[in-house]
Amino acid sequence: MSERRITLAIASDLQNVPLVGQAIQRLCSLTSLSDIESHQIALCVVEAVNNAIIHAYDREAEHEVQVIFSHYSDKLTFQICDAGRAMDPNCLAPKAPSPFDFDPRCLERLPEGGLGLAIIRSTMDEVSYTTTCGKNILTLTRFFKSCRIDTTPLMG
Amino acid sequence: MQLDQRRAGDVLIVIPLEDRLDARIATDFKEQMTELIASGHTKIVLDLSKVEFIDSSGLGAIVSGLKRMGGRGELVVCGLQETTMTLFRLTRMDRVFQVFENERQAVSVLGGNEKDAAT
Repeated sequence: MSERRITLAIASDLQNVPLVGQAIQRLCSLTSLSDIESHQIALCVVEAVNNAIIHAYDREAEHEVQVIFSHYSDKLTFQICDAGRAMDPNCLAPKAPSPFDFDPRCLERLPEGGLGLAIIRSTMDEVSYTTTCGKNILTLTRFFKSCRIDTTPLMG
Repeated sequence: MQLDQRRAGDVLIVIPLEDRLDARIATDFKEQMTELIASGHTKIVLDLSKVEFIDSSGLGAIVSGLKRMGGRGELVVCGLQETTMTLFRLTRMDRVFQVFENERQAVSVLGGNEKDAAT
């Protein structure tokens, strides 16, 4: 399967995150994805890079975050790489109830944080996380629509 | 970050002059909104027409403003672009906030002076 790959690297400063977000959105827009889909995917990558800077690197700006964009015939993958503190893999497991499953009338319980991973899980088709030799890699996968696996049970 | 402010009767229109409401500026935005609410404004229209991108930190700051109101006032949003509206729908915040197409509609519902609101 042919693959085209671009690696983006930024210093771990939140001021640099829009550079990555805009680049990813532009790259996605060159595929068959719609503008809205490209925006949503860029949002996911921004959330992942924010998490790396804030949680893995404690907002220290002298580290590096890499984003590897890979374009396959059937999918896009985005690997967000850092060498900071590893995330608890349990954070990726779907939460029950979902952070989006709140009572809109109950003001005090509206979520102000913790939505980033939920947005990623809702938007991307696959999300995985590995730590090897001190390098953390969050991999986000989005299949092109015609290639997505239909998990709906067959009727009849 | 820069916030433009305008009065329309007893309604305060707040317009972030940023194209991205994200983790870089979410804390600053949250603090400015907190100050506006603490200074007694109870009817606020947040005009997001200039904002092209909102991440979860930016959204959290908007939610924080609503919670800061504590049910004693109203914070509504208007001018959402298609991209930012998608985030409100995805996170189900469209069920929490009253969302209007433009300032005039939002100000009208809050009982402010529509002449001072942009269409």
